[in-house]
Amino acid sequence: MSRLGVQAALLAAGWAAFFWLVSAQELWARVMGALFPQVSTPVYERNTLWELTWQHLGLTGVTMTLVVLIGVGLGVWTTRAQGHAFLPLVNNLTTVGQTFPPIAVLFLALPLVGFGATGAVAALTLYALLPVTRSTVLGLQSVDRPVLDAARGLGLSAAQRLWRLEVPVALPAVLAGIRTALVLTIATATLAPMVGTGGLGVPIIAGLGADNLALILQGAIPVALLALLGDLTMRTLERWLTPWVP
Amino acid sequence: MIEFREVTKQFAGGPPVLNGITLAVPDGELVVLIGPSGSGKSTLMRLVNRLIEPTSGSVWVDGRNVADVNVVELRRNIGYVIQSVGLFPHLTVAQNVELVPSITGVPAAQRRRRAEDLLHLMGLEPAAYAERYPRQLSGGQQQRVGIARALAADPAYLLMDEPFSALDPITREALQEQFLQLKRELGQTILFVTHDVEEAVRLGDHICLLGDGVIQQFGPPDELLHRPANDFVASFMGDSRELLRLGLRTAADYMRPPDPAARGQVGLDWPADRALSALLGAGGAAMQVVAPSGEVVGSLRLSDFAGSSQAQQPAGEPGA
Repeated sequence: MSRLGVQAALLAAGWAAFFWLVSAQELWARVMGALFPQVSTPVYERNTLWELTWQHLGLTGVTMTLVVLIGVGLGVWTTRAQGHAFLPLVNNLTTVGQTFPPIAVLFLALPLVGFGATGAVAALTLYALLPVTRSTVLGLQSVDRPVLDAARGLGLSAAQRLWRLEVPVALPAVLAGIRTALVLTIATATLAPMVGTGGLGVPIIAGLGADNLALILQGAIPVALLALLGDLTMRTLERWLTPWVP
Repeated sequence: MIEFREVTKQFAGGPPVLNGITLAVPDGELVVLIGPSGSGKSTLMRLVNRLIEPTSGSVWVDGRNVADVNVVELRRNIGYVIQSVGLFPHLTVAQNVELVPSITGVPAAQRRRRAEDLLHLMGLEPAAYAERYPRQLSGGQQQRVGIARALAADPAYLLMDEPFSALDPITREALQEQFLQLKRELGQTILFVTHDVEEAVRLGDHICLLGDGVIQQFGPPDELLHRPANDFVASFMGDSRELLRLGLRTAADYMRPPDPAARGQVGLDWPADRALSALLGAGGAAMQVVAPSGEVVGSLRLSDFAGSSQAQQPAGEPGA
């Protein structure tokens, strides 16, 4: 308990430090200016770092909401009797979705959903679906036969078995899958500007185009920190939600 | 009462596993289903709470055909204990025991009290065990929780599928002992599956020996041991079945009047196999039989065990 408390406190401090860092536009300008005296624009100027960060968080948040809803939904459905026939198909589709390089998924999604935030979210969702669906299926399949047999014999209905046994037992795997998808999405969302949206990828892509390392770092450092914090947040959440896991 | 009427079960493509089984489990009794693997003993048991449906025939519980009872309702009134226990890994011991009452809406304080009573009854102190997770318990402790869970809703019936088979001999014996006591206190009607003859003799009021899809013999343990109906029964109950019978009796069943020459003591209430073992250890000399009060009430010698099979009936089994 206390260990979890300490972990949560450190995490809160980490997030506070992160938000302070991305709000300190002046500081970035001064530090980058000092580090790279040769570049004329040491920070991205059309949006503040604060705005870019929140665009990135927005993209990630919307994507992850969809990924969790669709991924867990598909996982549960394909492990029920009525959806079992679709398990191989869903497995294959999600694998294909992830085998393509993310950039390809982004551009392939373009003609379907169009330019802009919708396209980016659709492509990111497709890309991050695999770990969540796969881990939900594996988690649900990991419930021991005897435990299911006991649950049936004790008089639990199918719905009660799902909610009181299968879902909780699958939860560690599902949360681990969501954690993987989250880190993947935070990283991959840096490509979103290529299909016309914002986010921390904006200064990176601008910096690549102008051969400006300062701009690249302005996007890359917050993204790396965000991925790290996202991972730690999920780990803390896992520990808190599944206290029975050794 | 649990009743099987002309029950036949045939799985797709195979010969019938059960072939016209008719059997009654009287109220308050423990009936053991025993037989070699594949004899359908588990299948027969799982017909009662409809984990399996019969191909033909019917199963009746409390005078009602189980096929006409809502399956969830039926199962909640029948405790179920299995060999691999099947505790929910994400719930604490107390939460596992409270599982069924929590579903049926028993108030939290009440079901908690009941869970603690049951854990105590099963020899697990709630203060030490209630908040642990199943993985933190030994196999024997897990099965104690499994039995407490089955009893939580206070069912009139209990189905036990090889509940002690996976345990080491010492734990198994301790649990059997405790379970016998519990059974006397609670008075459930119990159907108990095992493949262990000793366990069947020890626990059963009646034994039903299944083989080749039919009942080979149904009767009190003593009858199957002493008067096997056929070669199948004789061979299944084993070559030392007369020795097993000793476990059903006490020294009191064999003793003769006190003998001043007797040395050493055996207890009046000792199981006869223990008394025999003491006699063999003493080199065959006569021994005194002593009542719990310390009074010498008789004597016992090796020859008292010979030829006694017709003369003495086990206590409480007149005419068996």
